[in-house]
Amino acid sequence: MNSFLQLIAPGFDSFITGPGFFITLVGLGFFIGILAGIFGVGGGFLLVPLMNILLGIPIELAAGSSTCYIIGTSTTGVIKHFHKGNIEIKAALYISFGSIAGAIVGDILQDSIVILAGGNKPLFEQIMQGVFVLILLLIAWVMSRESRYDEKFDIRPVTFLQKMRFGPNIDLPGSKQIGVSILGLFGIGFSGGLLTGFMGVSGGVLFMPILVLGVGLAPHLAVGTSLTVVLVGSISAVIKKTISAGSLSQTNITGKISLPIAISLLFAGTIGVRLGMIISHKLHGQKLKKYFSIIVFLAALMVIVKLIFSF
Amino acid sequence: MVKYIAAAVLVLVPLLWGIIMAPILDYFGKKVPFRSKHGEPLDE
Repeated sequence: MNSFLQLIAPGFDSFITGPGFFITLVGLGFFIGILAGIFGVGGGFLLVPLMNILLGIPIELAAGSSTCYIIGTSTTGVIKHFHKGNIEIKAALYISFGSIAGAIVGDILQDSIVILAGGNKPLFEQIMQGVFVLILLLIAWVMSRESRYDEKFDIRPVTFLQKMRFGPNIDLPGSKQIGVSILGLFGIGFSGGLLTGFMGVSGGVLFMPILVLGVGLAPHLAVGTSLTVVLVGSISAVIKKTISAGSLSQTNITGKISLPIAISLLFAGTIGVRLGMIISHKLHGQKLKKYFSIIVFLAALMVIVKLIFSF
Repeated sequence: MVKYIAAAVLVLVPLLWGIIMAPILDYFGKKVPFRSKHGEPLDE
């Protein structure tokens, strides 16, 4: 029973200090949820570094718990989009295969960095924070340019995946695209899954422009398809992280995911997302996306400051 | 064996949360219909 609790709720003997910890976590989940709802993103890329900086949650556990949280939020979204027929099933299937493989490799990559750091946890945290800075800066850049792809979609150019000459191809009737490379779809899924398994980030914010511009999906189909792939990738990452927990330690089996943390985030996060969606329609949130890139940039700066002071 | 049970719990709990919350959020979403700042309904 003790080892089961260590697998699903690690941290009660260290950084989890009491009710105040969970109240802060619920507040953080609500705040990120509102931002996510306003700007149409998952928010994992902000959650993981903020949990690490504000609450002192080890980055490995923050990433794992974020992956568990993503399962809850993406399930709600997938159900809604499935009922509306907003999922390009064939594309989702091939991208999901890539996502499963990517999530498994991502977790192995995380373990490899622990080994490379020689079990030195502060060094591991510094490496992960450095990677987070790069990802946050990339997301800030993508979001500052994102509003352009809606206009480009009407032009329907021959997409990158139609130009790929190797491997079998499929047609995507929902988006009127023919000859889309299956290997290319697998590769897109693999990259997203890698982010999920490695950093606890759904990658949805990067999936959207790739699915619209790279694959040629209609924007409404890209949202539903992206959420489906994110859900499959998150489930694979959670299973892989739990089954491989403690594989680097001979004596101590400690989980990489905390269910109490994930549930606290979900509790306020799902309500926050819906509230954010309502606010976004009142504020014309699409036009505000470039301002969101400033928030992401500020989060990157916070991680940089933490990184500098950790040396 | 305990790892597989833990994995199932960690997947099923948030999955069920999402399944339960989807209709609840839809219900409240309809109560507060999406409208633009000019008052036009935006949710189909």
